[in-house]
Amino acid sequence: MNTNILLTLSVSVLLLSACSTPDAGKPVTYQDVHSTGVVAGVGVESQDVTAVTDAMVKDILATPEVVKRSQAARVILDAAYFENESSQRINKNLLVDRLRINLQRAAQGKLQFVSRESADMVAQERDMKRQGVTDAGTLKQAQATAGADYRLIGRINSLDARSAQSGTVERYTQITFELIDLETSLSVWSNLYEFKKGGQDDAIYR
Amino acid sequence: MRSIADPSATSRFVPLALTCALGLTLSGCATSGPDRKPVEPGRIEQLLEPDTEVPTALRHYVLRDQEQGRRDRVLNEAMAGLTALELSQPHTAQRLLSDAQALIETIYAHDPAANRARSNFVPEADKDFKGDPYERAMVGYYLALADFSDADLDNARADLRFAEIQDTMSASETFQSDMVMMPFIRGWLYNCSGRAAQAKDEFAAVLKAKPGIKLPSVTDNVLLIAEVGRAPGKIASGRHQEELRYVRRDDGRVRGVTFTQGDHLLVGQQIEDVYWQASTRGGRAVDKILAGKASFRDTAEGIATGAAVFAHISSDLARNAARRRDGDDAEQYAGLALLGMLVSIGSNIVAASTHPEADTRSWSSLPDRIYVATTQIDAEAGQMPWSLGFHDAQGALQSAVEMKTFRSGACMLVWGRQYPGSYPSSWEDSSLRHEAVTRETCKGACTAVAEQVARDATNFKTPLVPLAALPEPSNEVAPRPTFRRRIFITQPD
Repeated sequence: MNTNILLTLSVSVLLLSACSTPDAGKPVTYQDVHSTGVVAGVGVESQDVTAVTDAMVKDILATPEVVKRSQAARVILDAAYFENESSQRINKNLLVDRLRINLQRAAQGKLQFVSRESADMVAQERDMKRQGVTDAGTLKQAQATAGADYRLIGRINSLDARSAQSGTVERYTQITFELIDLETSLSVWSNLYEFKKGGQDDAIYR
Repeated sequence: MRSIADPSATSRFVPLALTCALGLTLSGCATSGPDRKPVEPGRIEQLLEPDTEVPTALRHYVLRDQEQGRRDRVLNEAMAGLTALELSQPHTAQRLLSDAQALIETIYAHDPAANRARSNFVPEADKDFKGDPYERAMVGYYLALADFSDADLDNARADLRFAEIQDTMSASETFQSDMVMMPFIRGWLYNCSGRAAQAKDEFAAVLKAKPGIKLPSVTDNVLLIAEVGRAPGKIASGRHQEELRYVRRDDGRVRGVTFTQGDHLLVGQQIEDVYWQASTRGGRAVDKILAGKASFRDTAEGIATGAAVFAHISSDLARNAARRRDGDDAEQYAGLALLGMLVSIGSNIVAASTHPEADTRSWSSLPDRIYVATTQIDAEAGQMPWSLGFHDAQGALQSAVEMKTFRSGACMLVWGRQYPGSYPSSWEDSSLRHEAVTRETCKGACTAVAEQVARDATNFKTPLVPLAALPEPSNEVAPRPTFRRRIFITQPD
């Protein structure tokens, strides 16, 4: 009966291997923002946001027309004129906020940042001070709010390619930045960051 | 040495073997079905407003997500997102649909769930749902509607690009990127942002794909969207349910739409046929995997049948040898009969554990067809409600509902559906009001609707007869001769 025992064991092994249990998930862990996460796609991810903004900060600070002036240049750096023309839904503030904050910290007074997003808030407070609703505060009153010399504009573009047969997905992403002189409309600085990502989905999803 | 030619010994051994086989079957396959165990429960609940009560229409999805976890997360989030839009909660819809979109965009490479689903012994439906191309595209479309409530329309346009890319997954190049609804809406959004040059490019793409579509004027600040009919269905056919087929579930009774505001009446034109998008996808890579599983199951069943015949013949020979009192022959034949029986049982277990069934999970709250119209209204008129009327092919009004309005600057998106995405329905009936406006404007017969229905039929190559849903193929499988029952009850006497 050795043959029968062998057969029974084989069937058991086959059944046990076929009916494996699913994994139970993983606990939450902190991850490096510069690293590719466990969930990866072909679009802009955290490591791209950090890489692109770091590169732009370095490049702006190396541009004498912008930073080596007798008086610190005033810059508006927000998402108002930063367009997303890509196929990826993205919060543009992720890019421009990181760029502005890192630039402000690194510039050490060589650049000043004008917040147009706060214009309504500032106007409201100035009105209350001047109408005597509140006192003047501790800062010297300004005749007008700050005007700006430059404004950041930019665009996120993408080009997608996909093979239905192989399931390969590729996306070329190009992020452009420009600083525009708000008197002459000249572009005083520009740079771009580009990358291409590709991946292949499991055959079960094709 | 014990001889199984001894009838009593054989009769003790066979039930024992059967019991072992049954035990193996029950214990081995207890967990072979789809994985119902949630991996990250409650994601939808996390995405809803934290301090507000969950609306009744969304509770169902919260519970389903807790129960089904990651496996059905995209499906549940997509359906919940659509429901949130119906509840006029675009920000909730944004959160739900963008999460679904991120999961769709995730590349599943070396993923355990995907690996499992490729196994012969696990059904395709065990994989995480990402949807077919038409379902993925519709996630982008609804997300664009939700993102319309944002101040800048960049993301709404990006969602529509995402949707269009999903359609390029069609295996047949003829049907790749033919969802004209996406560039049409994107063009209108560009006009809203004052970017006429880009709008022109988008509309050129629309005309290239469907020359009969009427384009919006640059000054049209209102886009009206009507969703009509029931979602395309997915059915599994083939001997082992391994072939995926799409069926039109809508009866096509409603073939035209009108939009009314006050005494203003607009006739909608068809811009998309969702069923067409589903059914023109072409062959899938996963179909080959399923065909391989079906072939494996056929082979296992064939071996089981062959082994059963062999065991049956051997048991007859053993019985004859026992009658002749030829102990050696009887023992050999009985051993062979048992061997055949065990091989048959083993192969049957393997065959029964093989799952070639196609995944038929589908987004059941999608429409069958989508209609649009555009117009220009001033800000004051923008406050008045719009009604959506559903007409048959002759132009007769069947029913009407109040539409939902989303605003972005001077532009307005007005949206309505024939069938609610969830219950209780959040679409109020407006049939009486709509009928009064239609009667007054059309003066009896709405020939404009019937004319537009004819144009739609030409544009989308659909016959004017009702779109009767195809009968579902029978799931019954033709019986094949099997010797399983016979071998189980045959014992040497």
